[in-house]
Amino acid sequence: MHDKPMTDDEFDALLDRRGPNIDRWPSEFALAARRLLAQSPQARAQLKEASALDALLDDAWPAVPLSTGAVRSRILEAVARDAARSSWWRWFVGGTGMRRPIAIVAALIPLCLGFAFGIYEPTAASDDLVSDVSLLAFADYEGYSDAD
Amino acid sequence: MAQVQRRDQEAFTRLLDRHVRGLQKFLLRMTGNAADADEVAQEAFLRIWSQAKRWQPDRVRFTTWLYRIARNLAIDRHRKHRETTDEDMTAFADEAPDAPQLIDAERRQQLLRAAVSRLPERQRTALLLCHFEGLSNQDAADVLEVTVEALESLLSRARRTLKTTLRPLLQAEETLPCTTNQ
Repeated sequence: MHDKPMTDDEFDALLDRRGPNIDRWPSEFALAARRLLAQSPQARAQLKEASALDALLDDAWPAVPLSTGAVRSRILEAVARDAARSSWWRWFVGGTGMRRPIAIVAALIPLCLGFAFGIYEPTAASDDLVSDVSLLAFADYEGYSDAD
Repeated sequence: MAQVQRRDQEAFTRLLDRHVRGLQKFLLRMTGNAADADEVAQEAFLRIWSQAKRWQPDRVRFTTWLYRIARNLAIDRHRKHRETTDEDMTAFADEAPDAPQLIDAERRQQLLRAAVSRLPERQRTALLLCHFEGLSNQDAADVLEVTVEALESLLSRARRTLKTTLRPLLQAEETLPCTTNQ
């Protein structure tokens, strides 16, 4: 592409791939295209057609009033709600200074309570109570057998 | 964007103000419906807020990331409402443009939009990003998550299809002076 002159077909393909604004093409393509345009009526016609297509596309969507203000407000309200909702959690896990020890203590409390309940041993009184309940249940079973 | 990643609402507001209008225009052209465009734009920015930490500046530009999210949301929305989204456009799409002088401006715009809306989604998005949003081919390729070569192939097919579909209108346009930089 650098050494050979650009052909009409190559130019047409580039118009389709990169559009008719040759200033936006890579410089080596733009230079070759300008040389071709100076010589080739067909290339000039191709450029005219591509430019006409772009002009048509520009006309397809005239300036439509957008509800940008309303959309912006809704987005910012939602973001503010989300920020408020998550701020307590971020305070908890992302704290620095005195906040971090408080968060650690708060997290350890349920852990300690769980451990305490886990190692709790029933007293003798509660054992008696369990035995009484068992005897009653056995008595009921015996009575049921007698009825048979 | 680095400030938004630290949950800075003021930084997010500045980001929103810079990009929301352009994104709405892109989505309006993509969906063909102002209400859909507004909702997708809103959802896209909320996604930016909630997933800000996922953005990696060394991998993708912010604008590319924003348009990629918006495009994916618009596709999802279109799939959910397939039966209604394109009906207005396809009503015109099968009609070949008549002699341009007989078409009033509004109908001409409808025909043009219909021709664009009938393009396959990837071709349409490629054209919208490059022509209307002024993205470079590389940035548009990043939005579509394809190579530049694939993006240029999409653009080429889109333009060739439009040239064929809009031939009568193009012939009329070609009588006007060419304004492109040469």
